Amino acid sequence: MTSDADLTAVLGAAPPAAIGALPAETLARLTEQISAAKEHVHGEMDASVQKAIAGVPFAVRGIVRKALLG
Amino acid sequence: MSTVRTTPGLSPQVGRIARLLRLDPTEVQGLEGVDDADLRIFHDQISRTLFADAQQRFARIAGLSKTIPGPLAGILAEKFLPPVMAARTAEMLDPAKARDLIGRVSVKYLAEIALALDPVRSRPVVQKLPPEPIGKVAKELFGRKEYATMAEFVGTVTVEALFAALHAASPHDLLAVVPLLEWNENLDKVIAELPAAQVTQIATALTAEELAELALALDPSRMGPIVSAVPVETVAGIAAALFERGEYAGMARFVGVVTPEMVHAVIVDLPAEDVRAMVAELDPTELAELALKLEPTALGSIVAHVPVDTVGEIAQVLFERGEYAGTAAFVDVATEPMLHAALGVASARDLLAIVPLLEWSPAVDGVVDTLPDATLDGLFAEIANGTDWEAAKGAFERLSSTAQKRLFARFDRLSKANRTKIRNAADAGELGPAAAALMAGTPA
Repeated sequence: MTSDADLTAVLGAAPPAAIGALPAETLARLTEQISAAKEHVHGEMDASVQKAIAGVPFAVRGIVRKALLG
Repeated sequence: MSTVRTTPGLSPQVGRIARLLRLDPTEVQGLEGVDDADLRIFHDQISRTLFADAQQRFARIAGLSKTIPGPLAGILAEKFLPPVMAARTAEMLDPAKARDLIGRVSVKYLAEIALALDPVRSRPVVQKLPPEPIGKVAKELFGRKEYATMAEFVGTVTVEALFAALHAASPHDLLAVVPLLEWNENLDKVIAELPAAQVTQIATALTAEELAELALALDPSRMGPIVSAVPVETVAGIAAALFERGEYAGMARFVGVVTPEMVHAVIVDLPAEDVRAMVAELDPTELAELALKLEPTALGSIVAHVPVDTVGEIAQVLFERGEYAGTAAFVDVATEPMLHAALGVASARDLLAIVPLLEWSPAVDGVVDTLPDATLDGLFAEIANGTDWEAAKGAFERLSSTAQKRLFARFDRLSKANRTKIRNAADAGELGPAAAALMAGTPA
């Protein structure tokens, strides 16, 4: 895949033309940074979900679990 | 979360993208040439991709706030919901619930959420928030020098919240944030109505160079309230700083807001080339507005550098607005060619109104003496039709005897009705002595 296509794939949509036209090296770095942030956000979210479920008072644990885990 | 500041020279949008990616702005390289609109779109695309999978979860958390009592919801949010996620959730909150929750979490947490909020998506919720906590959050963000992010919210918050936010700004905060603001009516209102204490603080805490910088960022025409609190010598310093930067257009607008007492410090004694460059930046309407504000000495310094053709256009603007006193002040400092240009565009009605207000001089006589016959006919008809003999007397008696005789030599060109009106006025003693004498010598 080209760097532009990689970025489109990670974004789920084509970036603005001015960004799509940036050098391949820049696009590759941005793609990498976005992917890393995505992983970080997922990890952070999972951690806070677990922390929240374990930490909230017992009385509301059920509804919090349902809200966070579906 | 670490504080992410925008690197000087880098678009605030790159700072926002960096925040989203949990990076320092210097780590987001290669976007320098991309315009802000594209960077905004890119930011939103990244935001969507980062949180796409969690949208449902954020919606459920937002819904949870309806079930859990407010005090507990506040505590739980601050303890378990990282600010970036809280921001996504906040964008989905019922505005009434957001209003309740904002008072139940710390200002520090709110500030972190604010930094992660999307100014557009969060607008419906932010608009419902009370101004007081927004002022506190603004204070926290000013303390962290998060100017670029704050500037993004100018179009998001209500005017009351904007008041609260800018009230929390120190003079140097204002200096830093104002250049980043996208101007709107709310800002105009807030800047025009800054509290007196804050205005004084700005006027005294900033140097003349900094005030010049603020003037340029605000647009000098908005500096009125601040300038009025600035000592005269500082005003001169602001003017000097503007000229030094070659900001002639800015200087021209700045002159329009200084008080009459300050004009001397700003305009008079300036090098001619500076005044000429400044005048060249103004169109006839702006020059007309300036003429209305300036006192004769300062006005004279400016008028001397206005091209003759432009003088006619300025006079036209002033006549159209019925600004006869302003026009008279302007004419008083004009050269003879300028007088020809200014009075040359006057209608008979304009002449009748302005002649009594002019500082009479041989130059004015010279101009009036050479007014075209058509203008004199119009002037005579205007006098007869208006039947305001006091005004007519005031104007006529000031004319040179040449002009007076020229006018009466055209008496028979008036309509019969108008001739009758003037004769009747003469018989009733309503004309001045010169007019009465000329009338007496005019065949019936």
